[in-house]
Amino acid sequence: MAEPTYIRLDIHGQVCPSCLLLTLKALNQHCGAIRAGQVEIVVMTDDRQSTSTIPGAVSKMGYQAEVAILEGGYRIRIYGR
Amino acid sequence: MAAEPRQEKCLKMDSQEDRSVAIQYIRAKVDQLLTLMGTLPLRPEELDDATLIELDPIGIVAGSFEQVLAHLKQTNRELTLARNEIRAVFDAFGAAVIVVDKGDLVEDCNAQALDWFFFSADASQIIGHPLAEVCSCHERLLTSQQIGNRQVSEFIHDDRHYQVVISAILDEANQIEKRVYLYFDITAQKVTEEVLIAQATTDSLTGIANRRKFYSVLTAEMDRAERYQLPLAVMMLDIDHFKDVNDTLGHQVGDDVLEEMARLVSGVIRKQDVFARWGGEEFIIMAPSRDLEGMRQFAEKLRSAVESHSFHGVGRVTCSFGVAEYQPHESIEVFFSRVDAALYLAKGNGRNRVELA
Repeated sequence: MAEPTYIRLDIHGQVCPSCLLLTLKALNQHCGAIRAGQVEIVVMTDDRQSTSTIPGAVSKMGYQAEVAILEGGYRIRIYGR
Repeated sequence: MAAEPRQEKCLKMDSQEDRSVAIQYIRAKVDQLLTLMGTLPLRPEELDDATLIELDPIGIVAGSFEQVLAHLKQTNRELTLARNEIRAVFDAFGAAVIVVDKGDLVEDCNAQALDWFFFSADASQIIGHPLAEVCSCHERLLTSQQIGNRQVSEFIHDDRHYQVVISAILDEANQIEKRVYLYFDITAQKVTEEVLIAQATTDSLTGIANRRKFYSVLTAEMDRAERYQLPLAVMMLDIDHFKDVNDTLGHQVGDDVLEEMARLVSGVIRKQDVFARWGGEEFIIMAPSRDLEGMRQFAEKLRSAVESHSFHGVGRVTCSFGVAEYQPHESIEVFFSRVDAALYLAKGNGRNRVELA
């Protein structure tokens, strides 16, 4: 399987629920490709709340989310099954 | 909903006031949708009105809800398939299944359960009734043990041996929601076990107990004799000149003599005596509550019964007897060596006789 394309979403400085809305916007735009495994969204944020609201919301939509702690923030990887 | 009557107004948007009402309405609806998505409501200080309109939150959340619903539809479809799959297994399963709710009322049961426990009654006559009322099997448990979060019990019903495994089904808060009773017919397994135990403790030629069985019973009887200070005596008998029978008349005749000897002795001993084949042409008898003299008399009686019996194809056969009484605190090895010494003495003193140790 080919390596997926990553869409990087840098939302440093934004707080929830804007973070979630921006993430959802990207998810709505690329839903087919994400579900097919061609595209993944990588959200870079410094908002701690997003690390629970984003995975919670995207899992309701059938996506997987993976949170990593980085220096000065978090990386949330969102991908299809 | 509180925002509903304002809808008329916000459609017009011809004044600053109307615009602010419309924004309020959008914020309220977005908040409602965000709450449904499991996140926080919008805070005006984070998102000014212009950005709010530009961001199109209702559009975003509506798009996301479309995906939530699609995902839900897919999940439901998978769930229906899984449920049908479980139902197919449930009905075709070789075991009986009864599901009860937390109040022990029967919720469901499969065809096998109807057949085994409810005389093929209609499931509708069972469902909704207390399990104890429709099935009395659990009142007659033979064994019961807890293995992890399952209770495993055995019982006999209609001459069949069943094992029942009871599992609790927990809800999302880990509270017991239902219980699943899974019944297996283990009759065949039990019969096999019994046959195997019988094989392991019986002498295949004569059908009487073997050395292993004798050992285990004797050990228990020695404990009992010690604890209650009861006499316990053992006699060993050995067929005289048995080698000659085998050598001149053949092994088949020799085997016949052994079988006939086992029958003869079995007909003389008491119910509580234990009679076993020790090996070769040696037999052993344990007599609980008999002392040395009692055992000597018994051996004498046996000796004379054997001597006067005419064995098929051989005629007269005699036996030598060694008798000893168990001494408190004596080891089984020492006890046996004394019995053996008495038998050796009987052989040395001319055979067809009883000697004591």
